This record gives sequence, structure tokens and C-alpha cells, in this order.
Amino acid sequence: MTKSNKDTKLEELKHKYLLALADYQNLEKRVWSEHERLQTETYRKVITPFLDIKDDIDAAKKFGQHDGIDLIQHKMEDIITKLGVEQINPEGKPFEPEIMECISTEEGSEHNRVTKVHKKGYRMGTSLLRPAIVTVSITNLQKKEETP
Amino acid sequence: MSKIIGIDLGTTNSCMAVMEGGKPKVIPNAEGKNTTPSVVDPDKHTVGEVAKRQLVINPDRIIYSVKRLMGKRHKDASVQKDIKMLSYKVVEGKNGAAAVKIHDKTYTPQEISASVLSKLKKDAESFLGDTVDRAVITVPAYFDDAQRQATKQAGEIAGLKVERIINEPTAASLAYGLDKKQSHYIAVYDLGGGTFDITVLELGEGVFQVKATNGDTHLGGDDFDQLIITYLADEFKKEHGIDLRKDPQALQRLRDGAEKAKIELSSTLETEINLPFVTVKDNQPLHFVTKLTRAKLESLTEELIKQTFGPVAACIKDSGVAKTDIHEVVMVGGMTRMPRIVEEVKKFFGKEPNRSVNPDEVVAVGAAIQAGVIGGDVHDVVLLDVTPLTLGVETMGSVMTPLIARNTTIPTSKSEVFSTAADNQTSVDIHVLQGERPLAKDNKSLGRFILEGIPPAPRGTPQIEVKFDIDANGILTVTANDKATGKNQSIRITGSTGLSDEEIEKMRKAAEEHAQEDKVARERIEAKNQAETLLYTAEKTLKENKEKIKEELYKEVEQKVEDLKAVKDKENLEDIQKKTEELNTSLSKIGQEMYNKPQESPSAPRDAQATGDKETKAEEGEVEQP
Repeated sequence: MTKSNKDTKLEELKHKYLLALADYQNLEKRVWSEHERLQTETYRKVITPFLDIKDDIDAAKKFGQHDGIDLIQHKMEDIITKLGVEQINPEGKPFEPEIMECISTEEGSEHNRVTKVHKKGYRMGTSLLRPAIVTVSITNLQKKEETP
Repeated sequence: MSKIIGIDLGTTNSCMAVMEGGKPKVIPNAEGKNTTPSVVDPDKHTVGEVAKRQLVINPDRIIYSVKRLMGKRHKDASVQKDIKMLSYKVVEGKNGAAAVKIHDKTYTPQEISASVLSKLKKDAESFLGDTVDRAVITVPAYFDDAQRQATKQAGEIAGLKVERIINEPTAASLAYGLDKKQSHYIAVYDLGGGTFDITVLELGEGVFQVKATNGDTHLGGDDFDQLIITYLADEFKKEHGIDLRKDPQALQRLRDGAEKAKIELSSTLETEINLPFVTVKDNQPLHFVTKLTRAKLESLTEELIKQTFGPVAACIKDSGVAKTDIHEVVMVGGMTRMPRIVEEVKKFFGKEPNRSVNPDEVVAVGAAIQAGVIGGDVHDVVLLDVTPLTLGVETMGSVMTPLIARNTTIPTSKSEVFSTAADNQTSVDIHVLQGERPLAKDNKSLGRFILEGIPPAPRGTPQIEVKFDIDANGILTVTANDKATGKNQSIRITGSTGLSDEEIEKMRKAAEEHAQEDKVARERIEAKNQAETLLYTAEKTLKENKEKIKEELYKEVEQKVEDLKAVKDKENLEDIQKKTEELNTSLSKIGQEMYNKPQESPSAPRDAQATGDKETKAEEGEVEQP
């Protein structure tokens, strides 16, 4: 192998080495962020079904007071809060698609306001576990055609 | 050099993937999901879930299914048909092309698709920590030149150089590596959220040819959901006289319940739909609880499944390929998880379809593989080998103690400190082994050497560092080094990874087959080793502390030592464990007694501690006595 060939080979190897090193360092960073993402996903999978039960308890309360139900609701909210889950209750607030899902509209005096909250939303840090399911007011005289 | 990503730009959802270290990896979006709804709010520049959540409030402003308009003319029959189903306005744009109108602004389908691609690009960049400016994008096999051109333009508007446009069924076949085989015929059955496609391809040896394609542009998973919702709502109406479809909140819950049930019934035979307080009648709450079986779901959706086989038969006929000549069938789209669909496809083609790759991601994965080939990733990455089997040394009781686990990427090195198994042992035998079995004799012997000149010392005292070093060529160097004297000895083994695939497979199989008996044998040896170590400690303690121990306790320990000696070489594991435990209990009484009178023997606890340490070490890994 001539000297210039050796130099080329050396350059090539150096390039490959740096590439591998960079790949590794990037992988390290990724593994960390992926770990965080998976943790959030796991929480989402575990917590979300319980939020449905919480909805049912909330619904049950509308049909009469019962101390026992109140205690269960309180206990459930306590657990959720301790897990770092924050409730989104946007009643009367402007509609924000980032954290809410609109399932119906109704005419109102103000455009784009949440008039009913069918299901409260929940988030954990910056991650949305579930959007709040809402009805939003529209002012158009001719109500927009709703899509299913 | 930046990576090229593969994008499945779907009608309902889009997905992206990239090649990393020679393997495809699906890239999650900023919301953490692997697929992104192909829905856009062009006014507010929002894309995906966030845009989809406003569909009800802004049906004329939120654009979905724009893929149906890509590269089409406004007057095209399909566009005219789609206009009736879309909630936004479709108008005639430049040169008669179909375009979307929101308020006073007109957008081309390319611009809308570019918004989806821009979001994917941005999310990929944030995930990869690098600029992404090149992509491979997939299109349906039936897309004509104008539609392909429009897709390419969408990529360019989004700031992506479209390296190649490939067919979705081809991408799915690439994901299964079907291009690597010799030229053969493949059928791809793709039932997505809103469309159904069937394609026959000829693939392999550099050939990528679509023989025929067919489908139904308005048949997909959404139709299945709708049927379940209708069935459930009708059931409820029959019982309570209330139509849940008229109450948006109840409908939403019914829709969620139907989708959940559909997914569950792919893995179970029966599921429960349980919706408490679903509505109100005469101020009294009503609940909806019902069971849905897989059989019921299948009978509900039977017609829809049947509808897919018309196009399938037509496609086979058009392709000119006999059904029996189709070598592989590939399943794409979330709906193909439904067991009945798999069954029907199997029945039709007479072979088990390929469905091991996630059907929602398989097209993006294939696109990423194509991107990897174009980007030459395979050449740029230093391809590193792995050790096919575990490497280790033989330790006390003929046990294989692993140092480098199988599948470890090489080059690598690992070291561990071992000690002697007998008092005044002056040499150790390092026996290098390869294999997955716990007993030394069942593994392959790669070589052995002796390290001599260890100064005489009680067992467990010398520190022998054994280091395994494998270079990139798979050459293994094993070095043993006595830390006290610095003496070392080594062996170089060149054939450590050079086993044939058959040999490796055979050794792995043997490990699996003998797993249970190996476990028992290993437990017995471990128990025996533990017994021997304890006997050594006990005898040493008795000898060194004879004067300090009460006679009664001395005799008790002595008796327990004899008891353990009597059983330790026998087969009965429980006996050995029991007698070891008994000796341990009696022995600890000596420690307690000594701690209770520290003034009489201040050095005793330290000695006991030191002995204990050495013994632990000895227990963990001693090199077999020569």
C-alpha cells in the first residue's frame, strides 16, 4: 500500500470511527428520550381506562348524592392527582383543539366557547392523556352542517 | 449526511420510518403516536389529531382525505362522487385541477398534503436530532403519472427532496424482505381506514412490477365501526325506545365502545360493552350493558368482508397469474388484524398470509428500507458482528461462569476477579468455554491454560483477574493476571465466532431442550459449593476460636459440620440445603456470642468480618482447582 493510499484509508477509517461515535452518542440521547416517551405511553395505557370509570362516577353523582360515592370519587381523584395527572375542565372557556375535542355544536351568543363538557380531559406534564370532550357554541345564524 | 425517511402518506393516517443501524424504526410524532391523522387545518396551520378534533365545529375548514383529490381534475367522475361525501368545498383550480376552497382562499391538494408532510418532517427532525430533507414516499399502485407527480410536488413544497415514489404494495413486500428471493408473484391485501386495495406484484432479482391492481376506494375500517354502532344503537332502541345516535355524547360513547369491542374481539371470543348512565328517560338514568361475541361481529360484517373478494378475484384474473402461482400474500392495514379476514384470505389463496409486521406501519417500514438502499446506509455504517454464543470460564464444581453474553456486539472486553478454591493453591486452571449450558462439560471447550506462581494463601484470598477480549475479527484473547504478583498468562483463540450457523443453532437448541435438567444440576452444584464454603468457614472458625466458644455451642457446630459433610456429596438437594441452613444458624450463634463480649476479644468481630468477605468472594466465583 502506498503512502497516499494509506492516508486515504486512514481518513476513511477516521470518518467511519467518528460516524460510529456520533451514532452512539445520538443513540444514547435517543434511548433516554425514548425511555421517557415509553413511560408516558405506559402511564397513558394504565391510567386512561380508569378515567372512564371516573367519568361513570361523575355521571352517577348527577342522579343523587351518596356519601359513599363521594368518598370513592374523592379517593380516585386523590390517586390521579398524586400520579401527577392534571384535570382539564374547560366549561365556559374558548375551544382549544390542542386539549379538547368537539363532538357537537349549538347556537350561542359567543362563538367558539365550550358550552358543555361531556368528559373532562386529562394531561400529565406536557403529554395529553385524553382531550376533554365538549360541545362548542357557534354564532352563525345558519348552523353548520355537522359531520359524523 | 442526513438520513432519508420513508413516508406512508395515507388517506386517513400517515406513518414514517427510518433505517437505523441497518434496521427500520418507526418514528413517533410529537404527540408520541406512531401514526398521524392526515387531517389539516390550513388556516391555522395545524395538522393531525389537533386538526381532527375540530372537524365537527369547522367541517368546512378542516381538510381530510385529500389524497382522493391528488392529481385529479375537478370534472373527474371520482372527484364528483367524492365531493358529495366531503364536508369542505372542492372547486376547479388551475387547468381544471381539483382544489380545496376555504373562505376566499384556494389550496391545491399538494399544498394540503405538504402540510401533513411538513409536520412529519418536523417531528422526524426532532426525534432524530438531525435535519431531514430527503424522503421516499409511497402511493397506491393505481396512482397515475399526474397523481405521482402531485405527490412529489407535495414533498417538495414541504422541503423534502423526494428521492423516489414507490408503490404501497411494493413497500409492504420490501418490509417482509420478499425482494431478496428469486423472482416470484406476491398478492398484497390492504384494508385501511377508508380504502381497500389488492395488488398482484412480480418481485425479486431487481424486478418490481405491478401485474394488476384493484380495490374499492370507499371501503375500510370505518364502515366496520359504523355497522357495530348501528347494531348496538338498534339493540338499545329496541329495549328502551331511545335512539342513542341522536345524542352526540351518547353517540361518542357508543363509537368509542364499538371501536374498543372491535379491537378486543381480534384476540378474544367475547367482549362486554358497558356504558353506565348512557342517557336519561323520565329523569331516570339508563345504562347500556351488552355482550358482543366474535361470531356476532363476523356475521354483522360478513357482507363487507365479502365485498373485498370481488376486487381480489378481478385482480387475479387481470394479472394473468394463476392463484396457485402466487407465492406470498402480504396483509396491510389495521383491519387485517381481524381473524375472520385472515381466515378468508387464507382460504382464498390457500396459504398463510404474512402478517408479522405491524399492518399499520408495514408500508412506512418498507419505504424506509427503500430509503436505506438509496442512502447507502448499509455501506456507511460500520457493520459490527456479534458473539453468537456465550463465552465464559469453568469455575468450582464444573460450572460455566459466563463473561460475555451471546449477541454482544464486538469488539468488546470484559473482566472479572476470581479466587482460589483451596488453601495454599499456587496455580489456577483457566478453562475457556463457549455455549449456553450451565455445566462446563456440556459446552464447547475453546482452550485452557494454567497460571502458576500464586503465593500460598488461604482459599479465597488471591485475586486473579480474568479478562476476555474479542477484537472486531472475532479473535478472543483470554488473560489471567494475579494481582498480587503481577504474573500473567494468556491464550489467543481464533475460532471463537467461526462456528457454522448449524453448529450455533444446534448448541442453542440443546440449551433450550435441556433447560430444566440443567437448572436442577446447576442448583445442586451451587448448593454443594455453598455447603463447602460454609464448611470451610465453620471449621476455620472452630479452630481459631476454640478457647472463646462455649463447649456446648462448639459441640453443636461440630455436629452440624459432620451432618452437612454426610449429605453434601449426595444427590438430595433439599437435604444439602437443609443441613447448610442448620449449620448456618448454629454458626451465627458463635458470632452473636462474640459480639456480646467484645471486651474479652476486641479483634474477633474484625476477623469474623474479614473471613466473611473472603468467603463471599470465593462463593461468587472461584477458578477450579487444577
